[in-house]
Amino acid sequence: MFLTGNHAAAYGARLSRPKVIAAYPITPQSPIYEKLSEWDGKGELGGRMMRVESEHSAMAACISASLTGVRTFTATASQGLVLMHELLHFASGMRAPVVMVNVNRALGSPWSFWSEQTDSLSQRDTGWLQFYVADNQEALDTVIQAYKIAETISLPAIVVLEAFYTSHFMEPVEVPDQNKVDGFLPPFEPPFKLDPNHPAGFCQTVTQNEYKKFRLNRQIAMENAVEVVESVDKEYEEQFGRGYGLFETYRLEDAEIVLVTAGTIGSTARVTIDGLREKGKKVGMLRIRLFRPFPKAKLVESLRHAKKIAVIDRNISLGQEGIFCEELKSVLYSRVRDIPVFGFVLGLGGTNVGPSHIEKVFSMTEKMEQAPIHPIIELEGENVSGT
Amino acid sequence: MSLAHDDRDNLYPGHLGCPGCGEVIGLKLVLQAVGKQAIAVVIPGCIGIVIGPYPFSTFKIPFFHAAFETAAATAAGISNALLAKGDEETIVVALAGDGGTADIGIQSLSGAADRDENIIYCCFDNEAYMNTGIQVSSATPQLAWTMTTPLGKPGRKKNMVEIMAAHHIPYVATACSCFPDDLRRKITEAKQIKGTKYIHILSPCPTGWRFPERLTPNIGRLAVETKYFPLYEIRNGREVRITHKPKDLPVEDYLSAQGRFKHLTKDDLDRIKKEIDRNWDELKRREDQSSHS
Amino acid sequence: MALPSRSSPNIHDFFSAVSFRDSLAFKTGSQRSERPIFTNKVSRCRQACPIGIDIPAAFHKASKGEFDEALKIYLQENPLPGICGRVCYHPCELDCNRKDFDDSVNIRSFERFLSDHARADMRNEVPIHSKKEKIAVIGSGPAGLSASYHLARSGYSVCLFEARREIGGMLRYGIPSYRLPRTILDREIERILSLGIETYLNADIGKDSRWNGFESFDAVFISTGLQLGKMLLEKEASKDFILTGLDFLANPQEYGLEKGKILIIGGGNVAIGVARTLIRLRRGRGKEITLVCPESRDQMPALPEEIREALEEGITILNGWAPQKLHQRKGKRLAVEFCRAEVERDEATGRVRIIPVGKETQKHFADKIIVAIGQTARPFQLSENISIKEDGIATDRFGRTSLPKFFVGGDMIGGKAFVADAIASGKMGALAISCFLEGKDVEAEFQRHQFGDRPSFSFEHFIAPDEKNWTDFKKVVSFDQMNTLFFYESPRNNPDRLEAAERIRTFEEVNSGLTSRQVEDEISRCFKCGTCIDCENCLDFCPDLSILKDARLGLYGFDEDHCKGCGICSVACPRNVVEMVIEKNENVLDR
Repeated sequence: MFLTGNHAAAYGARLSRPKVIAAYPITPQSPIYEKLSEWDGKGELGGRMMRVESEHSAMAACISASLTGVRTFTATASQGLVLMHELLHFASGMRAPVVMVNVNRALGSPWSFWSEQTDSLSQRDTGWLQFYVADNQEALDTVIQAYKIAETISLPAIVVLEAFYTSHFMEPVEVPDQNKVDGFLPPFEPPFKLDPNHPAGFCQTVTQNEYKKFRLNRQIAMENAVEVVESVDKEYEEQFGRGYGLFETYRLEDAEIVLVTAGTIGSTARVTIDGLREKGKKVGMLRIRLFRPFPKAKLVESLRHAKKIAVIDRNISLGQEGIFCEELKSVLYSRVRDIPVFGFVLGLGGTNVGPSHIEKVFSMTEKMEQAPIHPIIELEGENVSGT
Repeated sequence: MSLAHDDRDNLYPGHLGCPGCGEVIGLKLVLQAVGKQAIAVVIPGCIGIVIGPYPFSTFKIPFFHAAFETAAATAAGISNALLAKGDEETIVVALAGDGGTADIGIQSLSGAADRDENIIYCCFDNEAYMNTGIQVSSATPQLAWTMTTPLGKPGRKKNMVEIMAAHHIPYVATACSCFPDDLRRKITEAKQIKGTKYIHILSPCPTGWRFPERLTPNIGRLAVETKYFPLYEIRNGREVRITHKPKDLPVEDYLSAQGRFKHLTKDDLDRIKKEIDRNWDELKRREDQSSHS
Repeated sequence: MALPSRSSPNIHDFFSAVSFRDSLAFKTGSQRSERPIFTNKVSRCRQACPIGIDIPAAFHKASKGEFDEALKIYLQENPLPGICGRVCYHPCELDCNRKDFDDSVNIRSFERFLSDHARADMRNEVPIHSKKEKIAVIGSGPAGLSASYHLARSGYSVCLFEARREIGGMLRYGIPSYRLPRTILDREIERILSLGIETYLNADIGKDSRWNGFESFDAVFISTGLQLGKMLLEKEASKDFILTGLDFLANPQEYGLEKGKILIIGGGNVAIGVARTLIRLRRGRGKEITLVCPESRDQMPALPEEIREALEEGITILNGWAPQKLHQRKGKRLAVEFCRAEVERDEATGRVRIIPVGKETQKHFADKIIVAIGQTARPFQLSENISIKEDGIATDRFGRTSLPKFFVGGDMIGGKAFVADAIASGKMGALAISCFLEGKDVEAEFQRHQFGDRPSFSFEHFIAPDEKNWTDFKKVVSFDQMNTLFFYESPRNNPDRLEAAERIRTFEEVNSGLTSRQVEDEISRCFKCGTCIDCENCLDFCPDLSILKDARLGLYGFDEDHCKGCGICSVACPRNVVEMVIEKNENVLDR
């Protein structure tokens, strides 16, 4: 089928048979909500759709529905996601395996509708798994995988698309057969649920020591999740013919300068790298897919041979640098100290990052001896502060 | 002789609420009427303490202590999950305070009511943020002292009951924890109805209202008998029925018994009396109109 | 509990905060400084009732529809509820706490309703003839009947001696039938006699052949009453023209008073009774009946309702005149001269002093004069050692005389001369006799069963002490101890009475009693002061779920581990059954 990213994500959700969907519209997510509503109207969804009055309530309803023992789904973007922030911590703490699709969109102020990754990345501390997808097929497949992973380790998961580049562009997408998905995804059976036949109190006040232990349990769960992501992805590949791994590698094996990035910039980078390779440049890419938990060991292993690493972030942690860059540096630091990492912050506010920009990134990286202390926000010949 | 606890109780003793707490009386009565086939939603507030600390629960039914402003949305999520599982029997009851209802929680409550979610929403109104130490809320009555309005609250009490009635949900009612049979009856009534049911329960608080803890029953009775807090029901936003005929005692009896009103002047009292009479006349008029239409 | 290991993704301990344990281990009662106690107390009506009937308990039974049980409660103290329910001066209503709220409860009408409509057979309840002792009761008025009843239900054999033709004393011969129908009287008496009491009518002690002397009895109760009407002016007129009220009432038909002008002297119930009986004899023509007394209207000893009904019936009552002289001329009517007078009444002794005032006089003419100014005992020598004088026999407050096995009760021992007081006196006699025969100290026993500081006590409590033992007889509940926020005003129900014009033509009962709907209303009006009625306010209002109940026995307690001593139960109990006392348990920490 020829689907937008939004509709592909909607199919991913539908195939996973969530029993409660709670959603609120926000550009550019609305088509997901509308598609689900259309199916619900035709009686094809087989659950309950809650058309709530804010994203905060959407997450609240998903958490409690999940704790009542049913599979849940929601989708949002930008303002909506950060409005949920308080409850993202809550969901993770209660081990509610909610799966959410977030369409990266720049955060106000000022108002903007276009792609930027800061919204989901600023939620990286909330204890949710995070997957960054590059195309519509990956979106659909990752949503289904996310349910299995989340329900195995009992932590919520977010699948991240990009505003318009993924959400609204149409691509050919293979929609798996419902029966096959049913075979892949067993029914949701949480270890604890709100049930009058087994009354229990959920989420009371705990002591300092108890709190610490609950938190550490989640840290350990997160650490172990890397394995689970891998095995689920393998299983998915076996059943459906498509696997994505913990991250995507493109012509990485003998690359001297490696580009690390996430999202649609990754797909542009493949074209750019092919062009540069033809010119004899030894360049390659690692596209981050699983961001939380960050697959540290495998990342180090894959990047160890590089001479230089350039990171393109379509996001920034103000006062610091691009978040993928910062996170990558911290992963490398524990094992590898001698690969300079060059952080580029491009594409903020949804500005285009095209092949010429990526070429510039590679050439600037090649030229520079030492990585600057601040993120590079201006490419050669650019005048960012101008027009 | 074999003495035993009340077998209707749906709570265990051993909670850390204040001695003399009028809210916990209401909670007890609500849970008695709700029964065992139920799930409760609790939010931060006095009830958030009464549920007990992990791993001990004072409730005999399951509950979820959710985030502050989410009582209604959380309850709605559970309600929909149950319906999705084919369970039409289990009651979902939200137990929120006045702050969590009229202030920070009003959005999610209005949203749930707008969608007519199948929940019983109980607002336990002790007329301030009592758990955090007596700070003003929009449910604090005009002129009342609180720690954050030491000269008395300038604005009036937000009328949550009428706001909820304006949503035209099937059942809205006022109740008071000191009128046990009336409160239990209203919860039982709510259980029979599908859709959003809102019960506003006046809960006298000795700690915050400043009166000796043993007088909680009297304060609650006086609130109703002086017409300061009438007991009535509104169905579908239009049919009004007064459920208790008050003795029409002087409102000074109610106000002078509480330290939070001790600074009231004679003019204040007169104004309050006029307003009470006006509100009561209007309520009676609406009741008459309801019975004729 | 330990955290899961990093090597295994299975997560069990500290997974998420889900609690399965209850909160009973939190002993929130450890800081308590007061604790509740649950004690039934005495109501003011019970304390005021000379007979000490457990009025709230009877109302409580009736409120549950258990009218027979309610009547039984009355019968535990009072064998004559049908009579008191008609003629009592209801001191209970005068002390009723409800009168300070809206209006007193119509307790007397309730008693009448029970005795008229409920059934109780005391024969199944009491151990008839279980004891070997035999007791003589002399005089079958209310005191004698009461003593006989309480002694018989204690198991003693009782022989009741009555000089007249029929049982009843003043009840039959002093109270007219429009107030107390004879069918009711007979029914009440039969209930008492059915307990195996032997009766001897027309029995003149000392002369009667059936009398074997006082030695054949283990104890004797003398209650012959004050049977003689005091006379006045008799030296000045012949007996054909002047008689006592008592003589008239004993046999109204005998004196040919259906015609002629009658002058009644006296202001008490007997005088009024004479007037109202006369008007009925004359089928309603009351013009020639005049009642004159020295007391003012308010001072008249007759019951206010009697005076009111007499006036409604057209009886002329003249107050403030004392008789001075009587003239009787041949062929002419009697003339009595009255002077203006005032009356001084000593409340303690009941003694009355008539003081002439000024020089004003009035003359009244009459064909016959009936005098009802008081009563005395008929002097009588019962035996060598014991004789009844005009003013009775000397006794202590328990009715004991100087002779160990002789006890006295009723009008004879002075004090108030109402039916209820006579019944109470008979009960006292039964107590004194029981103590005498069982070797108990009557002073101590009386104190144990006495209400507050009044002369009334519970005989039921004497023969069947409260196993539950949770009524404190020394605590009486006053109005300000009641929580009236839990009660709602409602007007008192009063019985219908026949219209005056109609009723004076017959001896039909004037007061028709309350309807059952009215009785239901009065039953709910009764506060039941001091008596737990299982309203369960304490259970409903306790914030700590710490009130405990034994449902089978209807008893209450509290959860020592969890009660915080807030005192709400003591305020929520509308009728003062729950009180807070200082916590003395050492396990509870000091504040």
